[in-house]
Amino acid sequence: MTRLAGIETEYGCLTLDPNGSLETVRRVRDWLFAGSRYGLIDRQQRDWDEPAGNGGFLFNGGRAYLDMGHLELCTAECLGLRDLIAHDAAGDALICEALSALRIGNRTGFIRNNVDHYSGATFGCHENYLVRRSAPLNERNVLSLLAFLTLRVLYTGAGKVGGVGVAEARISNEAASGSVPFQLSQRADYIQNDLFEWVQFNRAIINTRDEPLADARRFRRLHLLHGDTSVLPDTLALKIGTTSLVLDLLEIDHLPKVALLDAVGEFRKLSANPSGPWIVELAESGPRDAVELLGEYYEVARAEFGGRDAETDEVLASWKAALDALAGDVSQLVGTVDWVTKRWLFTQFVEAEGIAWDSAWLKSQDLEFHHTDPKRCLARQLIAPDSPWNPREEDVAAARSAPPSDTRAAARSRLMRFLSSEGLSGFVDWEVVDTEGVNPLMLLDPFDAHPADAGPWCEEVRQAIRRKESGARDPGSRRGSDAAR
Amino acid sequence: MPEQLQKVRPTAPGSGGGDGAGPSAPKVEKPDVKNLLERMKKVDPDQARRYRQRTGQ
Repeated sequence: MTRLAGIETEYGCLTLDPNGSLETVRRVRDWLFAGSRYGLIDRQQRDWDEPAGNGGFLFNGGRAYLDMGHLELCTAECLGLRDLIAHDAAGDALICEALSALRIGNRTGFIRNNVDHYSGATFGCHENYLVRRSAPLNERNVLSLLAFLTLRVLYTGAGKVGGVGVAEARISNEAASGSVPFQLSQRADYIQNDLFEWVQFNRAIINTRDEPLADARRFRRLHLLHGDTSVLPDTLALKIGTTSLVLDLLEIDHLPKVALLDAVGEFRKLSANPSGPWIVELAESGPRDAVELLGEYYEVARAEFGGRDAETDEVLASWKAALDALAGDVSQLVGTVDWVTKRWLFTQFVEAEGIAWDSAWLKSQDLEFHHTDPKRCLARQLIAPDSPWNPREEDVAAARSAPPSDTRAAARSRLMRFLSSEGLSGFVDWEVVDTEGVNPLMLLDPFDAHPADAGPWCEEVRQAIRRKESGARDPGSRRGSDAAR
Repeated sequence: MPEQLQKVRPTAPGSGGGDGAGPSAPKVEKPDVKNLLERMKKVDPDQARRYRQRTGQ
């Protein structure tokens, strides 16, 4: 990619532990940070709902914390798509390692999905893309971006058994998916608006929160919460890779002119129609084939960026293959696209067992498809053998503790290890590191893995330590100094 | 545009290079799921009922 991206995953917890899932989630969080095993726990309150000890940054550049009862893991800022995929997988690996070390893996599992089929609760997988501040966000481009983010569900959906009731989705009877046996998206039922800033109850396809976590004069952050948690690596690559390319088009003002009449309505209709054909209503020109529209984005991206670098060409190739299959034989995406794979497998299970699509057993299989334990995850057994995006085991293992080498995450990781080695507590955030006795070090360029002022800052910290130690050895001089003020 | 956003990375030898044709959809051999279906029989039919989650973001 030519931009930074990262994802935040809220995990569900399935446990037989009599103490319940929240206690289990806390134990896993505490294990990650115990003895600075994988990161540094926050010693200060971060926000009103993030008290000290709620979570912290990881040495791999990401974050782990509790959010509304869920264990949430954020990846580091990644420039390479393969780095992002490896860091996403490393989150699962960390959880599995914790469960094994705590010896509770036999009665507890974590699920990377987005719904509780029975209560209707939903929890997200948020995508974050760094976008240059000067990107032309005029009405035409925003509508085109909105259309793409709606249509991409055809190859990014994780698939879901069943619909959702009116009350849980907070929508009208007419719009509720209700008794739909299977749909493409886990989140479509919960998206109410095209553009809005809330992250609960009135979720939008484009979340308008503008919090760049970097130099705000140069960057903005596109925060998306309408996507599903991807399971297959190719689905994750398609989701992040093609969205990044479309943002590349936005920045050069070359997005195709596409505007849906009702993006939220089309999102739900596409999701509730796994068999196709996928026809959507455009604002000005009536019905169009959704795959053909996605093809317009692909064609412009290929013309602009084809040959730019190896990764871009790989994303374009995967994108083209996905669109060709969607237009022809969708089953060619088994092992590549989550919802296609899930539907294909579950269809065979339904036929073999003679059960209905609304069977409780199938909802349980739906969780198993998303299990973080690689031995249990149904989807992982079906990863295409020639998948170009399946991360190497050694890369995932390394990403548990090592940051991407080419982003700010590397600098933050080194600074965290420095603080840890000096026995100091500090405040760590995406764009700042601080500790007692010195000015905070700002990390406002997220592309800078080696900020020039990091070394001098560490030396200042050492000097502050020496001053403090010398004051402690000679308390009389400090009293004298205090008295002189 | 920030300079980093314009960073050009080398193109891998033999890569598509945007020649317009793009690869065709792969001819996928569907995996044999006999063993997987057997494994699915052992999944607790009630585990989704026990999966009581709070709404998050």
